[in-house]
Amino acid sequence: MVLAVAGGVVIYAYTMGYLGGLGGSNTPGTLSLDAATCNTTHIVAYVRNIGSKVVNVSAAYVNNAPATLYRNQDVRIAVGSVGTVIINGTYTVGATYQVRLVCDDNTRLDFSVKCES
Amino acid sequence: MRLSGECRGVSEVIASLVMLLVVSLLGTTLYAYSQTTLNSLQESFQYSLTLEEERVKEKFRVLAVWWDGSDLLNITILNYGKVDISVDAIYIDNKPATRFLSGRGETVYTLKLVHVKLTSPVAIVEGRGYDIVVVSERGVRCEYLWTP
Repeated sequence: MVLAVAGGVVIYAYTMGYLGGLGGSNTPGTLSLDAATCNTTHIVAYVRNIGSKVVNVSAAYVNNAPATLYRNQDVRIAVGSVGTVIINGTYTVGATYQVRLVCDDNTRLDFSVKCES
Repeated sequence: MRLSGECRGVSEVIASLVMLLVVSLLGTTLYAYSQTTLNSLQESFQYSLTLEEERVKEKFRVLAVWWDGSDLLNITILNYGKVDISVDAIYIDNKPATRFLSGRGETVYTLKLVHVKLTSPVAIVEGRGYDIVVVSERGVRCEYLWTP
């Protein structure tokens, strides 16, 4: 009987944790790229939130390397709005960069941008 | 049942009832929590699915661009998809237009046109090519290369 109760408690705790991670506030949002530009010092992306909840862009990666957001500030994008995400860095004219934006709820947006000026 | 010494206990019936109560409570809590979470998850999936479905059905294109010779543009867009659309943003050479005179946010029914009048965010020079991107409210893009 002790074993049955202990087993039940373990399964209960595991299930609760699993279900807690599935839904609710942990479900990622949806982002879409409107347009993006690149110059030698910045990548500017116009990002649309087409999901059902507010997202907060908190990290950026350029060619898989961590990059810094403008003023090190997160970019909050309301539902149905377009946010301007500026990524600092040194970029080469003519090169194409793979960019990944990550929000604090694990929403991601991948795109590439060619540096033109 | 009587126990020897100082040890005291409860009867098998009471113990069984307590166990039953505890298990029932745990089960009920788990069921209620699972129901709520799964419903929330289902709603989230349904929203994503509907949005993606509408995005797939959404089709539009730029038919013509009229330029007044200064910085005023009139872009004619045809909705040839299966759902109504609404133009939300226009980018010229990847720069967002911020001054719209008309057409933005209007519902464009299927097989109907919309004329979006706006002030170009970049200087227009005759003979040069411009990349015009029209974006709908659902985030669907339409790209058009225009040479005045």
